[in-house]
Amino acid sequence: MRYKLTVLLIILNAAIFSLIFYMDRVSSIREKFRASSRLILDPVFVQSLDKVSITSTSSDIQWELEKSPDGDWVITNPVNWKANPFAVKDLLFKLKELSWESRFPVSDLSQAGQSLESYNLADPPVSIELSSGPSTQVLALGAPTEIGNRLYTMSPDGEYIMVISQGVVEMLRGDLNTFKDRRIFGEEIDGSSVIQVQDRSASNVRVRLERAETGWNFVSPIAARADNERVKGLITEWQNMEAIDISSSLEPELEINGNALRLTFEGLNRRETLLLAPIPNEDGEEGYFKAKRDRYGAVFKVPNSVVEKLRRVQDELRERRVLHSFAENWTSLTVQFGEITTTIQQLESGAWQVLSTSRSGELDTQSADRASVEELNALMLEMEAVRFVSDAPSETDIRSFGLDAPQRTITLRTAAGESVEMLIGGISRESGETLLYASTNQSASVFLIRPHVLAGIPLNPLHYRNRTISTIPETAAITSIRIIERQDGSEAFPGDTTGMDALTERLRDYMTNVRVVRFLDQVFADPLQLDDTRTIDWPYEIVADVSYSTGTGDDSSTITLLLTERIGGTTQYIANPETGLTGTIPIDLIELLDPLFATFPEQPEPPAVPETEPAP
Amino acid sequence: MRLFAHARKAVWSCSCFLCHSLNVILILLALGQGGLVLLNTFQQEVPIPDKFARWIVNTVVKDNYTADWSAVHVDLDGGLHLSNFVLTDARTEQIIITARESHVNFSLSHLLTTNLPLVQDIRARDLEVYLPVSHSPSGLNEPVLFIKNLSLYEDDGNLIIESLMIRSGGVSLHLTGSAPIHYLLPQGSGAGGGPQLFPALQRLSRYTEGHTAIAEVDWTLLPSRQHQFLIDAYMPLLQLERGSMQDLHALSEVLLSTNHVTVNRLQLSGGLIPPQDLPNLPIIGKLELPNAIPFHLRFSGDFYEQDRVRIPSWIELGINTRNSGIPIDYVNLTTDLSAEVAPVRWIVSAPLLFASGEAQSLSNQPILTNPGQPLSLDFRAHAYGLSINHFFPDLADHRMLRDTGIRLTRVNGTFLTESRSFEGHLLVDDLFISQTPFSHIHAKVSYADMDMAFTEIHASMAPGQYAEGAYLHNLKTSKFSLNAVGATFPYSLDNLLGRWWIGIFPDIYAPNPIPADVTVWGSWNDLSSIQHMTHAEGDGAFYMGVMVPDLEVRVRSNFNWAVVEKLEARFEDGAFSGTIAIQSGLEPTDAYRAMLLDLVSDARWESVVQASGIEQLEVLAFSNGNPFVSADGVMWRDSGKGHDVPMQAQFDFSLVQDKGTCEVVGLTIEGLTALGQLDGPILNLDSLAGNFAEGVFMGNIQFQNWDNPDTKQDSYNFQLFDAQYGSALYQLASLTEDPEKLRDYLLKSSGDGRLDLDFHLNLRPEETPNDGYGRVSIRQANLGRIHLLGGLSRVLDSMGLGFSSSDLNTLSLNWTLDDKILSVSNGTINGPLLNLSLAGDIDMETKQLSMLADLTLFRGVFSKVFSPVSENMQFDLGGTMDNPNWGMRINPLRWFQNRMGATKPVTQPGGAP
Repeated sequence: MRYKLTVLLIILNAAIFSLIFYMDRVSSIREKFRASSRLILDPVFVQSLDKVSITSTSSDIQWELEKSPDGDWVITNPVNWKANPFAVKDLLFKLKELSWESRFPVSDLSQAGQSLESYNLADPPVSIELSSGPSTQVLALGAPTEIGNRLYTMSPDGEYIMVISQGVVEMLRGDLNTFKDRRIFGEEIDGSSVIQVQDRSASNVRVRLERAETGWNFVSPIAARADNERVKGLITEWQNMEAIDISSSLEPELEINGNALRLTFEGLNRRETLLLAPIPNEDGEEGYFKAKRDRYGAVFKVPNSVVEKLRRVQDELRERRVLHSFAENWTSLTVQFGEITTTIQQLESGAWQVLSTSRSGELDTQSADRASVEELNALMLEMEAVRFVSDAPSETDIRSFGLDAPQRTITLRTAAGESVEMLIGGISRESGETLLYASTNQSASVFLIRPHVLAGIPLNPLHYRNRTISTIPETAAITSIRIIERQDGSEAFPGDTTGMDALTERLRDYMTNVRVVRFLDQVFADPLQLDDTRTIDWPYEIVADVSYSTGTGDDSSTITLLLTERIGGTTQYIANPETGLTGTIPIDLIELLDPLFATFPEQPEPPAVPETEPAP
Repeated sequence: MRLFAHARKAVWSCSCFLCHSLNVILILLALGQGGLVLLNTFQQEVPIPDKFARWIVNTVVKDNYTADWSAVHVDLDGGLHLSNFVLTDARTEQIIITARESHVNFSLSHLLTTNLPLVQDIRARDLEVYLPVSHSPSGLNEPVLFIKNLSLYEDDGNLIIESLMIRSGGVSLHLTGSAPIHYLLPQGSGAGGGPQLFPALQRLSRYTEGHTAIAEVDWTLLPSRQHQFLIDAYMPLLQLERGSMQDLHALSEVLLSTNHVTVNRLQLSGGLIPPQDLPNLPIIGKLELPNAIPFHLRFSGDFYEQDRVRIPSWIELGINTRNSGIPIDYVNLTTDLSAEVAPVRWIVSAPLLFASGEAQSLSNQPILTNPGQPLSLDFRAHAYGLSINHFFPDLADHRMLRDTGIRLTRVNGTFLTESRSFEGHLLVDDLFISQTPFSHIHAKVSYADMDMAFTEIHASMAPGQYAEGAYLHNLKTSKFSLNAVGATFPYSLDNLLGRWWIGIFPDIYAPNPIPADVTVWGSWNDLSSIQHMTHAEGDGAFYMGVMVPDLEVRVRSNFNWAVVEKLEARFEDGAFSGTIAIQSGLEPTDAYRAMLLDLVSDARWESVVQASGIEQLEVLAFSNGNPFVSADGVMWRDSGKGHDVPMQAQFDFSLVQDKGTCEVVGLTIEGLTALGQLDGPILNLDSLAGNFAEGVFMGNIQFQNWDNPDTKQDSYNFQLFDAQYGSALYQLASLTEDPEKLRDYLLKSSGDGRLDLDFHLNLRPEETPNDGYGRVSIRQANLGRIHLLGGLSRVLDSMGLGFSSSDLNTLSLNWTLDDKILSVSNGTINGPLLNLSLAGDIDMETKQLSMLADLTLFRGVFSKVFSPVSENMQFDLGGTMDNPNWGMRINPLRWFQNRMGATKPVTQPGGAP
């Protein structure tokens, strides 16, 4: 019997313990804790969402967003297009933080004489269905509160009507098109290594660019270098390009006609293709192309101007700086016409020299002018093909382009022994053009260059030679300077030095290192024989007294140079009779000297104005 | 047995005791549990001893801290619920953490072994993390971090953060993640993380103050003990010192290790807010910008490390300015931080522009961290289809500006920020300016210290037309110099250079471009300082239709004068040269503009005439030798200032033909010399001299008001000595209305004889009568034969009896012109047998002749013998000049009358006999 009591007590204890355990389950402090939360949605649940549906009674359009296996959100209804990741994440964040400010049980509504209609929750204007796997919660958003800018909403379990702030609702009541990612590509084409444009209007030609270590190259339809900056610009442009008027239909039409294009970007593991088809120009507005990405169903518009650039990629993205890659470090440049050659080459010392051969084959060596070499370098670097005439010229073409007997052959060599040769042929056959045909031995292509290129590489070795015709050592100083009229020995300067301070300073500076702007081809003579019939006198001489400081004392000498009158706007010759070098002085000096020699008439006395007869 | 029985009894008693004891325990347990049930039923909570709770909390919280709460409850699962939990620093009594509600599930098994974790999960709401006063920016012990929701638990040795919703300032963050717990346990003994956390919180409070942001963070503690954070953040507005951004989104992957912070991936996107106080830009004006300009910033590539922070070294910033109001589509900036001194490469694209380049540091410092350092900006820019209307949309229509534009402009070069200097090249294709097309222009461009220079310019207009030169400009003083050497057709520049240019070369045509060398210099601030010089040389150019084999012109101008200081037109057989100066820079009060001429020519006369444009000179023609012509003087023309004054001139000019002949109105003159002056309205041709018809002529001509047909008055004075009569008459016939009639007459006569003329004629305007006088003398000529007996004389002549006919071989007469009446007096026509005295008038208007001739037969004594006959006979010449009528008048008494009354030998026509 006693055992019976014990057994009975054990059973009683077990029963009470079970009761306690049950009670703990039902109304434990954990549940109290959960119930005390003001968050409407479990943040963990929101974090794991894989589908969001938004229904609005105002538009009768249900928006559905789904998370793709790769984690990107995609709009699946009303249009198939990629979702704006920022808008989606903004929504999810707001949902996580969504908390009620006050609430009351639905079950109390009848007691208070209210109903769900009172809060517009029977048929809520906006509802969001949130799905995470099999678990689904619906959040119904009802009427706004009368004051306080708040909103009534139904708790997901349907037990409470809660008052929340308007934040998330404003987003959902607004334009849901913000969930569309306006960028056609965005980062998806970042790091592309292949670009392909297929143009149906151009015999379906496929222009393909591939990125190599040295940069972008055309591989189809021709093999040629591409302009890296412009290719980068094209990618950037399409990364930034926004879709216009993204269709709101799930099955829009895109008519692929004879003017359609296909633009493809290929990356490491991605291939993004855009189809583009023209649509008629309406009301004179800028034309548009309809476009569609192959992985989405949506059709949208792209400005005509942008698409038309794609048709010209073969031309616009081509590297036009034909010698750019060779011109970085050249050490020798030869300009040749027939048997006449002029070579500018760098010596081991770093100095430059000019080698030239005359028609008779005589070799001449001169020190080169560094400024001329730098200008030559800039010319080689920046020289651009205006357009490419032919990528596979025939023999007949070569002859007609004048490249069989070029008027210039330019050869660039680097210290490493690499060389490139460019031929400059005849003038363009297009009427009125001043362009010149040219080609390099790097490709068969013939292109057109601008005339300044030819002007920048004259055969005349004097163009490149050191332009100093007289100089004094750094330790020397010019003590006095004068200009003498040779005819009578009078001093034209400083005979009257009024207002001539600038001239004195400039002359002193100039006579320290006399450089000519350009050399004269003719041999020095007095008078200077320009041609068979014309001579130019040397009416002036510039005399500078130079003092040299030497270790033993001061020494002095005189520099005498001859000067012509001003022959033209920019022409006034100076000569060093000792060396026979003759050239033109700089324009600023010409202008400073001008008041010395220029004469203008005296103002004559005008006649009296005839008396006019008064009008009758 | 008894012993066994005692044993059994004792066992029974013990069992009963134990059983009772068990029953008592069970009863007590049942009562206790029943009490719990009752308490739960009524109070819904289970109070436990405060010490028990404190023991649990202290197990978690170290001794340095004090925990307190307003209420604590447990559930039978080991749940500990703390209300209004407060954690304070035991030493300073400053609050560290508070939590409105917190729930901790602890493990009862931890009571048995401390190897198992005490806390199984923690959930809390409305936590506040406080900064101690020592670290608080405000100096108060106040909360800096608010945790709205915290949910973390332990699962299989891992700490799972289900949800951690944090707010600091305006920044809200939702963190999820997991980590193996043993990774989190401190490695060895050491101080807790609290004090080290405070500086971080301090920075956090500063950074988040005034900022609003939300962020999703996914946290993972990797086996390498690195904390991996995947951050997805949104910031509605970010205001920085150098600018503001809105709708800023960030995607980032950050690895935290003990020594490094590694940012594996970082992407930012949003909108750049343009400054409100944008200055008015030159040309463009005030930009109408949107609220924000979209941008994205990406980090990728190899890592760059600085201050133990590693980020991808390749940074790319893209700014999408399409539709932003800025005429640019996008800007793209990239740089590689891993380079020692990383250049920033950039691309700018616009509907009309594509530019790219890079910025280099000149002080070996990273550009991003010190953008204000001296930089070298290299760039290459192409602009397409630029029009002047793009820059000046409201530009008024003007011929010089209409359709001005450039198809392609390329600029490349280097700009140094420190010195604000630039050096590069400019290239232009198809420039259309001032209605003038240029196909290409290429120039070297430099700018430094306010000096702007376009040098090495090469401009081409069309094949063969080009210019090379420079344009130098000081922006401070506005001093400039424009230089060009090239070749072009003058008309090509008509539209560009305008009226003054057209005025110089209105009639020059060159089959080939003319080489020229031009400079214009001065200061734009002082237009009077601007000077100009042009030297042009053309082979085979045409001037007013005259082909000039070799033309050289040098023109110089300043504010007051435009001077052709050298004009040389060289022909095969002569040249035209001299100077021309045209006054400019006139004041409104100046009525006249002076033009000084000093020209000489020994070129062909036709060329001179054609080039001069004076059609009247075509009356002269020279052959077998060019005349030497000179003109020196001043011409006054209307200044164009509204005075409307007639042209005046003062010129000396000369024309000398040393050899050859001059043809003028059918007259052939050899050795013509003419010196003249033009003085106002009077044109004098003095010292006219030459040989005419083997004779010598001299004279002068004066034209008064020569340029006004209404008041024009010409005065001709000539003397001709000893000219060959026939030749002279033959040539002078060309002055008559019917030269051939006179020449036919000459053909019938021998034309021998000599002619002397004295000719003075004043021609006046129509209303004013003309006048003149002169004398004609013909000698040794065959002037005709007179038949005294009319037809009978011809019969007698045919019979060899020629006494009744006489040849006429001498003529002299004086003439005067008064209005329209030409009066002849003292006219005598002499022959071997007779003398005719002639007098009378010719009406030049009606050509009516009214003349009377007296006859004197024979000479000497025979004359006296026949005087009664001859004096009684007179001849009337009437009719018209085209159809003259000779009539004989016989007065038998006239001989007596003459003797008695001494009448004039010749009576006036119509007079009484």
